[in-house]
Order: sequence, then structure tokens, then C-alpha cells
Amino acid sequence: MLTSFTPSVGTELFDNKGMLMAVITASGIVVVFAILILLIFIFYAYGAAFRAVTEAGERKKAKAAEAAASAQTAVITETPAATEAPAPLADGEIPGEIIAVIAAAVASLGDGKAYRVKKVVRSRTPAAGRTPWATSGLFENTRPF
Amino acid sequence: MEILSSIWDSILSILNESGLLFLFEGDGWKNAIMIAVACFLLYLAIGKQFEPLLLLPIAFGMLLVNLPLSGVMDVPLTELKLAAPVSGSDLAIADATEIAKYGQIVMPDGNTYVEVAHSGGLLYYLYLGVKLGIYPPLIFLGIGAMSDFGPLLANPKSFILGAAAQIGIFATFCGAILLGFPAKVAGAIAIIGGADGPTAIYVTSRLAPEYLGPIAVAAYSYMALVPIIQPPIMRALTTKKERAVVMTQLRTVSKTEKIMFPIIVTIVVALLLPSAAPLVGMLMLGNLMRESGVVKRISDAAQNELMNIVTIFLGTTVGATARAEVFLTKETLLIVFLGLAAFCLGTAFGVIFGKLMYVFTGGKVNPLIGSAGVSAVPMAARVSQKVGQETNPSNYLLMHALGPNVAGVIGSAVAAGVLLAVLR
Repeated sequence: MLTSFTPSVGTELFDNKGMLMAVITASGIVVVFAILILLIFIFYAYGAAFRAVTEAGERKKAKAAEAAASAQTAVITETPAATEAPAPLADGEIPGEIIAVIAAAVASLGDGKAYRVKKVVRSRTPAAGRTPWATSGLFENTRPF
Repeated sequence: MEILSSIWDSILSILNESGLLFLFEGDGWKNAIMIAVACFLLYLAIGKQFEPLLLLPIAFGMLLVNLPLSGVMDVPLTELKLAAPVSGSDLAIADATEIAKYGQIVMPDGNTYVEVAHSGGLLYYLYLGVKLGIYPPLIFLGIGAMSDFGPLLANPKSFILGAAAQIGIFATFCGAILLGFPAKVAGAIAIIGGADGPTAIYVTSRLAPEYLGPIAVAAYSYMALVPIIQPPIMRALTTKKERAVVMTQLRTVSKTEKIMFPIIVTIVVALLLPSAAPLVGMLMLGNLMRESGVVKRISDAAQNELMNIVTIFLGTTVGATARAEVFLTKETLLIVFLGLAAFCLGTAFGVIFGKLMYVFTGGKVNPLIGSAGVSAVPMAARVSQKVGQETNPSNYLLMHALGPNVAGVIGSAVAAGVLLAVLR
């Protein structure tokens, strides 16, 4: 359809400004939208198909893992072995090393004051439930200008 | 005393042949104005850091070409000289060196001539890359290698916003026609609204090469001014409630999906609109090199060395097209005005379609991401982020805005293809 317009440039059809504007504007908008909408459909279909395949694969893997785990449990039940006790945790769930790192990070503020870590509390971010680290990273990378 | 007189004469002779004198003769004042404009653009690039990577070489190219007698954009010429004096002829006589170098030709008039070749200026040869449409697709190759189309794949609806922002191009086309520009020039001016420098240069070099200077300068100036031009339009067209919308996190896109994307887009776009193939094809080639992960070396080269080299050539030679006699015209002012209109309309249509998506999705889409559909990657997406955070500081729209942003690159290449197919 477009090629049929090409020879018309400068001829009677396009000598009329109104016709020129109408033809180019309408054909331009229609073609741009048509191609991009076609791409939307293609990538929706493609994404859906891809997700379906991936999910099927994951379900298969999960089933296989579940079967393997249940077999192992059975073996363990028959011969219970002494399992190694986990390292003792400081302050409830947070390991001592992590608290040491947090204390070092606070001390590195370098404003001359002495700090003591009394309590480490997990903070929540309001929007998308990101961790403080993720929020900090996002902020660093997205702070505009 | 005689020696002093000779020295003075030689100094005068040098001055008479210098470009300095030319500035004060005839239209030399126009060159002086262009030198001032170039210096102002250099100030914007260095002092204000407005798109310095392109504005600096553009401004310097403009400076070079407007220095009288610099000859940087001289076209290569062949001068016909006489091999031996002929009575009644005004042609110059070739000297022995020229005769030895270029040989002699006997013309039908019976006289012997020498064709003496004068080579062109440096920037003339570099400009062939623009004239032949080589540099813009190479820039697109680098852009493709730097772009992550993941956000677009995670939310393909973004393509709509990339298309909506191109309406500004066609609206401006109508404006340019109404202001009396010929169809091809109007198409070249309108593409400024795509907010995509290489696309604007590519289309202009094919439709109206004589306007390349003003159009490129306008396009890059407005791209640099995105953070100033877009926010008032975005705020005017949206409510506080709309601007505060927090969008849900995008899904993770797998590597295979990302690899298939450039291949599919190239096939679809090049089949439907072959004139867009050079731009879209190179964009997607760059992206495929990036996402495949098997050609890291050439992907890095496309992103860095190639991109930098082409940017130098493109910027300098485009700047060198802005000669005083072309630039200092009424048309340039109109181009600057129409370019601004194209940019504003593109932003407005993007936001309006963002509002439509807000309505149709029951408030799940923040309309601010629509403005990013004008390309200008990633500046326009960062503007969406910034304006969104003004209303809700914990809102991160950047990744959501990058979808329409890269869709805008594809959309402007498609719009360019339409203009080329219809007008060329």
C-alpha cells in the first residue's frame, strides 16, 4: 500500500496540502501502531508460551527433587546419624559475625562519636517490600540527575 | 629601512590572505555570528554538560566550518588547465609538476589539457558516512549493545506508549506543511519529535540533507533539555493520584526470551517496513550480541570503541554542515520552533496514552511512564522516575519507564521508515 504513494509525491494528489497531511499522518500513525501492536501480541504469546514451558520444567524438577528427598528421609530414618549442631546465634537469629560487620559499618561513620549496637531490627520498606540493601542499591542507581 | 618595508609588506600579504580579513568583508559577519553560536554551544556542552558527548563535537565542527578559508568541508574539484599557452583562452597554464603528475589529454578542440585534482577537506570525506547513511545505523548498533529490553519484554504493553509518543512526529509534520515547508523537509523536521538523534540524522540525510545542521542541532539540544521540557507537561496532564501510582514489580525475563527478542523484532519490522531495516536491524544486531553472551568482545567494542569513534565523526561532520549561509535563515528559527513542538507533543501523547492505560488497567499503570516513549534513552525514563518520586518518594518507576523508553527507540525507527517509504 505504501509503495503506491511514493510516485504520488509532487503530483496532483500531494499538491493539495490537506490531502498530503491526511495521507501521511493517517498512514504513519496506523503503520507505527500496527507494527508495535503486532509486536505486543507476539511477545505476549511468546512470553506466555515460554513461561508455560519453564513452569512445566520446574514442576518436573520439583517433583523429582521431592521424590529424591522422601527416599533420603527413609534412609535417614533407618540409620539416624548424629547431625552437627548449628553454630550458636547471637541476638536471636542474627549470627555474631553479621553483628560485628554492622557494628564496624556504624563505627566507620567517622564522626568521632562512640557507638554501641544494642539491638538489630529487620526494617520493612513501604512500597514493594524490598530489603534495605535493595532499596539502597535502587536509590543509588536511580537517583535522578 | 628597505628590510623593514619588506617585512611589513609580507605581514600585510599574510593578513590579506588570512581568514581574519574575510570576517570583515561581505557576508563575513554571518560567519562571526556562527562562531559565537558555536562557542555558546561549546559552553553548554562543557559548562552545563548538555549532551556533551554530541554537543561538543557538533559545536566544534560548526566552529571549524565557519572559520573563513578553513576548507574543512571543501568538495574535491578537478580543475582543467592548459598544457601550453593558447591565445584567447582564460584557463590557467599547468606547470611541469602538474603535467608530470596528472598527464595530458587532447580535447576535440585540438588543445592539450591537464586535469588537476584538488582534494576535498577532511570533514568532507568524514561526512560521507552521514551522507551515505552509515553512521546512524552504526550508532544504533552501539545503542542496541547497551540496551536492556528486559523491561519491555516483561511488560509488552509498553510498546503502545512507544507508539503513542510518535504521534507528535506526524502532528508536527502537519505543522511544518502548514508553515510552507516542502513535504520532504517537513518529514525531516517532524522526526525531531522522535527524540532520537541518529534517527533524525538518518532521515534528514535522506530527505533534506541541506537542513542537516539545524535539524541535528535542534534534535540534540532538545534531547539535552528533556529534564526541563518534559516535567511541566507531565504534571499538567496528570493528577496527583495518578502520579502516585506504585506499579507492581516486573517479572523476571529469561535469557532465552532476551535472545529471541532481537531476532523476532528484526524479522517482523524488516518484513513489514523494509525502509526501517537499517536502523532496526543494527539496533537488534547490537542487542543480540549483548544478550547472546557469546561475542562479548565485539559487543564491548560496539558499546565503547565503535560508538565513541562514530560519535566523534558523526558529531563533528554534522556540526560542519551548519554553515552560516544555511544556518542563519528564517527556516532555522522555524525548525527550532517546530522541533520543540514535536518534542512537547510526543511527550503529551505518551502521557495521554499512559492515562488511558491507567483507566483500562484499573489504576495499575502510572501515566508518567508514557512520557518515556519519546526515546531519549535513558534520560526520559529518569525524568519519569524523578517526577514520580516528587509525589511518592518511595516510588521507583525507572524500570517500568525503561520499557516505553526502548519501545520508543523502535517506534521512532518505524516512524522514520514510514516517512522514508512515503516521502523519498
